[in-house]
This record gives sequence, C-alpha cells and structure tokens, in this order.
Amino acid sequence: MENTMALTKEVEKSLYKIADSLMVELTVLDGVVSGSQEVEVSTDIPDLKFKLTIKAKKMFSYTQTGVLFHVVGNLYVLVAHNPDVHNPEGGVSSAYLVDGSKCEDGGIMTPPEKLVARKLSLRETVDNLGAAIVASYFRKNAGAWSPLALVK
Amino acid sequence: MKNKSDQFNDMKIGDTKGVGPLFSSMDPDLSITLKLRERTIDHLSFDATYHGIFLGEVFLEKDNWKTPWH
Repeated sequence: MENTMALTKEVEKSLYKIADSLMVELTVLDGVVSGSQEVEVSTDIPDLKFKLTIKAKKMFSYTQTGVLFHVVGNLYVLVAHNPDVHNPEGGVSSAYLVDGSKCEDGGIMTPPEKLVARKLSLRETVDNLGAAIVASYFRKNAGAWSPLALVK
Repeated sequence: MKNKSDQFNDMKIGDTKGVGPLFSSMDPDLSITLKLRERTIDHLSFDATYHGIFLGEVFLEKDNWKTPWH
C-alpha cells in the first residue's frame, strides 16, 4: 500500500488490513483513497465467469478506518478496521454488503459514496447507509469471517 | 452435442438458479443467483443478483455467455 500523506500508524495498519481483505492495493492522497483490482469469479456453470473490478470509492477515518468499494452493478462493500493498540497483530475487521440502489438521504436516492465522509465514525457511516446494508461480517486478526448482527 | 442452454430447459420465466458464491470467504453457502427473465429460441436472459442486490444482466446468446463485464 502506498501512502502519499502522513497517516498515523493506526490508520496505516487499518488500511493495510482493509486492502488485504479484498486484495486491492490502496493509495491515499490528501485523504482521497484510490485503488482497484480485477477479479474473475468462477461459477458452477462451465464457461460462465464474472469479471469484476473492485474499486475503492471513499474512505473515512475517525475512531476506526473504513473504505467503501464498488464491486459490480449495485453491489458495494464497506470494509472497516479497528486496530488493537495493545496488540500490534490484533484488531477487528468488519465488512458490510451494501445495495447501492437502496441508499438514500432524506428520501432522495443517493450514491453510497455520498453517504461516506472522511470524518464520520463507523457507527455514523453504518447509520447513513441504513437499510442499504444487507449483510455484515467481522473477523479478528486474520481469522475467518463470521456473520455480524447489526444493532439498528 | 448438447447446447449450453439445455441445462435451463426446466426453468420457467422467473425461476432462479444459484451458480456459486461471490465472496466465498465471507458467505460460502450463498450463491450468485440467476433469475430467468426472457427466453427465445437462441437467447436466454437472466438477472444476476447476490443477497438480492442486482449485479447486472447475463445473456446466453447463440450458445455463448455474455455478461456486462466482458
């Protein structure tokens, strides 16, 4: 991961974990995140493959750091990381599948990236995305992902 | 020789078929779903969704798969 602005160690570590979650190389320039990765998803049907471009759209960094990625169609993924300051190897990652067609602001359809802002917390970001979040997961360190029940 | 469309002969308009996971590390049991939208003699069109989220249209045309991502 390339950093072109001064990031704290915690934010840098979180961005590394987020990038690692989706295997996307991230660059941050003046608080603006970028990076994309081509992914080919095989299916049970021979010859039918989904070629996706996972692209970083927006980041926030408050108590936790998170990045919103566009995957394909209306599918977005928000990945966040909460570093464990007492354990350099520790921390918790969370991931949220977002239906971009359900994002709204005051009843007006809004692109999900407009609901993510640099100085928002994860809680505020999740609240902004609201019902557009259709599934969520978490993992400790580099462990397996488990379903995460959101308190709404 | 069998056509690729033969595997969908039993599907009616609106029927769905799971074709495998998208994020297998997070949700190994949840598939991308193809919902049959239209069928003609040499053309099938599907809506692809994941967790109910619309991914795009997928076509099987003259025995070739076409996706918006090709």
